[in-house]
Amino acid sequence: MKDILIKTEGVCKDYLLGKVTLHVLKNIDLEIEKGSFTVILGQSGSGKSTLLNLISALDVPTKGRVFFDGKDISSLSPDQLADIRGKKVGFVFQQFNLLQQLTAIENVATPASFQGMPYEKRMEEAEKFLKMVGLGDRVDHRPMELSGGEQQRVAVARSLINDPEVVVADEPTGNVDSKTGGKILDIVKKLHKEQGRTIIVVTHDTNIADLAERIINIKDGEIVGNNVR
Amino acid sequence: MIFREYFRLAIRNIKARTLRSWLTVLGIIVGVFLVSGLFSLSEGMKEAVMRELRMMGGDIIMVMPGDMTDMVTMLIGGMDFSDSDLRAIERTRGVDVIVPFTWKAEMVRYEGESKNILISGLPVHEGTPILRDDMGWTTVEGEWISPGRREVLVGNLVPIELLPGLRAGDRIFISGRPYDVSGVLRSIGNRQDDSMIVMDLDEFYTVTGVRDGAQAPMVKIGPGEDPQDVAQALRDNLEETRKRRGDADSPGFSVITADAAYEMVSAVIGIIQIVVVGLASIAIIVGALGIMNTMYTSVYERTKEIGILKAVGAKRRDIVSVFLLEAGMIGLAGGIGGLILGLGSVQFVELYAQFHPLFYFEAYISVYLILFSLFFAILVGCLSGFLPALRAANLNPVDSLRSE
Repeated sequence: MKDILIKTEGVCKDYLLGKVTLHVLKNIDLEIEKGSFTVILGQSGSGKSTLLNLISALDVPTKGRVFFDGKDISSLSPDQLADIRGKKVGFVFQQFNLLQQLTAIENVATPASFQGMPYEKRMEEAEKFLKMVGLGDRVDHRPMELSGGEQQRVAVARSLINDPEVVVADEPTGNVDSKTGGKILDIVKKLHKEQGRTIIVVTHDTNIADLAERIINIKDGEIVGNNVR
Repeated sequence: MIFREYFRLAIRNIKARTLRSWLTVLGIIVGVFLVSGLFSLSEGMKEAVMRELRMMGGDIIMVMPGDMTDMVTMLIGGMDFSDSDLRAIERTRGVDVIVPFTWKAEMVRYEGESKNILISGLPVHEGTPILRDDMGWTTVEGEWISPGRREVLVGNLVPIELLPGLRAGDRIFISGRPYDVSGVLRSIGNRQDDSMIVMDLDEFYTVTGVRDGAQAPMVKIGPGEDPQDVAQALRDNLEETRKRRGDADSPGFSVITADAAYEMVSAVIGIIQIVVVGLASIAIIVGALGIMNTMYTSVYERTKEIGILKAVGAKRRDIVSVFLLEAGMIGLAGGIGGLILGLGSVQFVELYAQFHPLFYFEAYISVYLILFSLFFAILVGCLSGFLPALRAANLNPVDSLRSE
């Protein structure tokens, strides 16, 4: 039997825009297996980021249920969701989203601090992951002193610090040039292949889709394709 | 501990907005400066006044005109105790010595200069030991008055403000009669007493034309007597005397033991202190509003950062902690600055007092005052940071991440 990490059942997400209700996601059913590499492909405005938010415990659906590791997370409190994110989800964003006041190593260590990892230990771990993404010589640099590609690698290192069940990346190469983007994808690929991590990437870039084992196509808030390659 | 990153985040956030942070800190500095400074100042003054009162031995009882509940009549009351009153006081059981204190303004001439100065008369023979030993009066220059001589003692402000250059051994003329200045008194602590000329009661009667009576008789009780009992007996006797004299209409009087005087003054200064420090606290409230304003702006500007922290697992209390720490640190910085400024200026007043004969003052600075001020400043910071922190904690992570 397949080991399912994330499952959605009839998930809908509406946004109220003034007096108009926007149905961003409509009746989404999907399953993501442990250790799989999934790409959610769709145009801008298709609802793919909203879907990512729901399956990564950043948000809750308007209707339907989301199961994470067998647990229904659709109606959890903000703090319970934060707990799941902190322990089980690693995030990589298009905008890198690093804390500008902290150095690279402190940025990587921050998620571990919320899980109560002791200072020395988390700094040690953070350095290990920074070395892994090839930034061992950049640990004390602030984000402003790093290139876009370097910042995104810091973000990847940060996503791994709590040894998450899944790494979710929202357009991870959207803000870097194609060569740097390639490097980042290499790292993500390695995470999947060598460490067996579950990876979910949201993108509109079909080149990235080529890396995936499963491609979920989304259009106007509905799944229009769900193919295993 | 998570504390280290919180701390670093807070420090760097404060640093990132240097000017705004300093202005906010300044608001608290002003508040703490006023509160700690005024408290220290008033406490120091209270101590100074109390020290004067403590010099008055426990076996001294003052009889003053006017009702004790009515400070004004008490202080400006006229010649209220007649000779028969004084005899009644003297006869009272437990009374050892009576010193009828009395005063009147007279023209005093020294080296061509004439001033209207308050002259105080007291029986030198009985009075000197009481003033010296029970009230703690001392001379800074010269000697006490020798009985039988036409000598006077002058308050320490007399040579400074009224008759410049006057020294012990000089001669002055009071209502035209010559007197030698035997000595200059050390400051007693209040302006009126320090500007007075003291002479023997008989001389006083001669110079002023006053025939008898006194304004404020002072009594020393015998050894082993209870001040409260003697005070009560004094009250009864005086009332009795006045009733017999058919003088029921004469204004009231107060019999004040050293303890009662101490309590009364302490209470008055306490009220003044509360009012002064209370008013100064308004400045702290204004400072607190400043912190609140800064923190709300900060939450608004750092919405994205809050979103990031939440995305990577920060719970509401983590976010609250980050912002409270920041607000608390602004408070603490303001507290330290305010204390330095407040206690520094009180020290300055103390230094000034040491060189100025006008008043005695010792700054009140204690570990408790410092700890309390710092604790209070941090508390003010945290309290004013609490609502902004709560707003930050309640932000939705998805919306926060989307903000720029």
